[in-house]
Amino acid sequence: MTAIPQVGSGVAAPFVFATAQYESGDWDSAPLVPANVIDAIARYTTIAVAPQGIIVPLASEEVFRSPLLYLTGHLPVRFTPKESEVMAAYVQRGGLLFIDDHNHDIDGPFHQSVVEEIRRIFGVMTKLPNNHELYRSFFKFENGPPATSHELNGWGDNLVHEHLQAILRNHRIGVLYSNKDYSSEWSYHPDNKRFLSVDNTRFAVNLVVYALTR
Amino acid sequence: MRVNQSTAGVVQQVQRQLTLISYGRAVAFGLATAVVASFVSNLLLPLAFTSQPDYLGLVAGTLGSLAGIAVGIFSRRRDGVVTRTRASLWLEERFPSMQFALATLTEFDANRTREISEDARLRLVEAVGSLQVSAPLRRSAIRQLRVPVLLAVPLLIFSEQLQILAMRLVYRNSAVSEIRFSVGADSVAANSRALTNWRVRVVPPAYSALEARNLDDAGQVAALVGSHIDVSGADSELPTAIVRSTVDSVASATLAVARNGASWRAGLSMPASPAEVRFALSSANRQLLLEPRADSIPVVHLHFPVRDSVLRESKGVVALDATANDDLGLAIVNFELIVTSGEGERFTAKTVVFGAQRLSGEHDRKWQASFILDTMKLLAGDIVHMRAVARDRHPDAAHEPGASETRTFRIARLGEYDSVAVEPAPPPEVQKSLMSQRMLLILTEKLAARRTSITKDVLIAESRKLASDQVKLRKAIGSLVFQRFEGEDSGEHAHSADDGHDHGVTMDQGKLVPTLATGAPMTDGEGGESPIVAINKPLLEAFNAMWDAASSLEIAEPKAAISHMKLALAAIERARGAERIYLRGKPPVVIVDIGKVRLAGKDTGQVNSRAPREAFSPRDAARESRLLAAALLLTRDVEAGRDSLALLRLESIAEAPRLAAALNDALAVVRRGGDVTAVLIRARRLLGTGVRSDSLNGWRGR
Repeated sequence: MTAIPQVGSGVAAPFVFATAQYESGDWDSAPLVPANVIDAIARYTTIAVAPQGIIVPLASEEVFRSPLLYLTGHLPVRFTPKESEVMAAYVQRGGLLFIDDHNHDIDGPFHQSVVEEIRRIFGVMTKLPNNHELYRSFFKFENGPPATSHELNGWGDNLVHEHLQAILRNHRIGVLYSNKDYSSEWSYHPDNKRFLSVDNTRFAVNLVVYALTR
Repeated sequence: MRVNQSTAGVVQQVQRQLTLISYGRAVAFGLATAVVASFVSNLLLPLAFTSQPDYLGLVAGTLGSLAGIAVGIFSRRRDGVVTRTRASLWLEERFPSMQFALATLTEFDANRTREISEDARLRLVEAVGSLQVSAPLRRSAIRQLRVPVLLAVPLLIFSEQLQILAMRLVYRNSAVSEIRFSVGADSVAANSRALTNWRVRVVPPAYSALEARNLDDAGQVAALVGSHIDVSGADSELPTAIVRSTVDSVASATLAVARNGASWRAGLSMPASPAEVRFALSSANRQLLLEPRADSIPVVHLHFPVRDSVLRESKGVVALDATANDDLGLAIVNFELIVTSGEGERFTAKTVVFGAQRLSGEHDRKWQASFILDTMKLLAGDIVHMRAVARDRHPDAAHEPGASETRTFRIARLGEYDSVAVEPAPPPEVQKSLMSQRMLLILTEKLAARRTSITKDVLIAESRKLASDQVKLRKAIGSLVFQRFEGEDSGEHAHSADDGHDHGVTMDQGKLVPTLATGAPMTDGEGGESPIVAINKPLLEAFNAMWDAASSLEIAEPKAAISHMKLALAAIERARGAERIYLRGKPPVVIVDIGKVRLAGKDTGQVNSRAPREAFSPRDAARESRLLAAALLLTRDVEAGRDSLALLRLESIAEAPRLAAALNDALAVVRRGGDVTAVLIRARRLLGTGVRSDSLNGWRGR
């Protein structure tokens, strides 16, 4: 695990991509996503970025060091009281929690359980409008969130999910929830990115830029 | 009174001559400057233009001309206007004895307002006397014109060579071939000379069914090999004609030219290789290039059967379907079968032709046929080769027919596997045990049911036989248990409780008992069962129940064995249905090389040194020289340049077809009277490997 850089040392600390580790479910179902997102950040931006992501226990206050926290899984999830407490504080303090359903279907076990948990901790999510600044914070996505190949191939619920859902705090996204299965879409070794005609991790750059600048 | 007439005429003559010398100097300097400036422009302009516009040559010429005019004007102005006073002073300088009397007289004559006395004028006229100016003028002309003329004449003589030199330097240093000139319509005006306006009649061979053609004043003839070519001219005298092959090293031959009334005519057949016919009459000569077109063989495709195959039996009907096309017309199409039999070194082959159709010159044909395998008496291992054949109307029997690709059917040999054999995998060990135990149970139940109806000896024999099978099955189960415990295939007979190492189980009167207290691998830290024990526990139960069943069967008590056997069966089924735990592997650790992603790594961008391209081969070099010479010739004599290009094209057809095609385009442009620069550049680039450079320093990335 890479050591979390210390801030306030006078030198701009590089951005470190953090994956949330929670007690229930399978938090590590998409192990290659962090490397791929880091690759995209390095490829398209001048943001100083750590070459390796970190895994942060959700019940730990270490999450407060990361402006963006990635959480995914297939299995039903129930956050512990401590995890719930830290998540609420994290969003309250300005962090962006990005939760992606690795199942990509509306009624999957992760979706059902995590939406309940989000409602319990943060309240009811709203649809994020497709002209939200998240979709133009770096790359422009005119039609909102980019569709994944899993959606287009009719897997999961055979739907293209038109919107992402979010919990907004002070007009800023605190929790961003996706059941488009970006975790599957981005879970490949970055070296294989050269085989894609269009890099499908570009939306991850928008996420990071939004988390760092808004 | 004026200066006397003879003296005035001399001064005028000197004035005129000096003016002429001045103009001569200016012209000579201007011409020399123009040639030099053109040379320099030809050298430097390509360096200034990244893309080479077509008008570059014109620009170079214009620059040279402007420079020449400028230098001429400058030279002329530098000499100044030769007035009478200057002419007088020039004479005074050559004849000091006049003591400026002539200058004074001329000045007074020019300025009539100033009058002098008649005596003074007479003294001055007397002082001038008679003048002989031719020698000084000649010396002056030689002295003043010597340098500019010596400079201009050689430059003018060698201006063309200087242009070639400039182009060569540019080509070598810039790897760009530029030949810039334009052929204007006015420059295509035909020369009025002998051997013009001849007529060429081409009569193709009869089998081709092509019509005869008349070509007026053609310099090149492309026709089918064997065509009769008849050339007739209107010249009153008979020209000589020599035929020379441009490809083969065959000696030239004289072509007979005969008189035909008031004109002449010569006839020959189109040879198989390109040739040149050179006609000469007094000082004029003209070429006729012969470009033979070969009769292509028919193109045949066999569409069915689609692919080769192996047949188990020689049965059935094989349908054949083919198409053929030919440039001049098809004569016969058919199918060919070649049947080969035998093996090793003893092979026999027979050819069968069938499905033949005689055609009357169609260009395209589609035909079908079929043959019956049953009637061919094929044996195992025989091979049938099938192909379609088409012959065009060429009369020569040696003319190659067109044939399709060959399909092959082979009759499989006995015992030969012509399909993929998949061996079924054996059932898993637990499944096998399950089936075996169920079978043993059924047999035991039957034996128990027959117990009263059979003799004791039979009962004992059959019961012991079942006991033996039960023991074998027990050992198999035991082997499975030991394998799972220790990862090795070892039966209970190879281990004992006191053999010095821990097996995880111990033998107790033939039965297996797990040693949970000491078996660290089988227990977790909290004393519960490990997954391995959990899976193997039913197998241990089965093993022990089988022990009891075998013991009962050994003493001919099948009824007593049934309950143990049922226990064993149930235990095996439990083992089969036990929960499996799949352990996920360690997730991969990927560390992104940020520098590499941002293309800021350690790569220096220095690649291996680049080797200059190979120089032209001697043949290509010769072609290049001829192409350049022909290109320059086009600027002076369009017809001669066109002939040179046509000859070069003809000679290149065989060895450099792409160059020949480019030259053909150039010739088309020349005939139209357009700008051939682009096509000639393209032609030159097709020579050899294209860009040439003596060193990398001169390479400019173009």
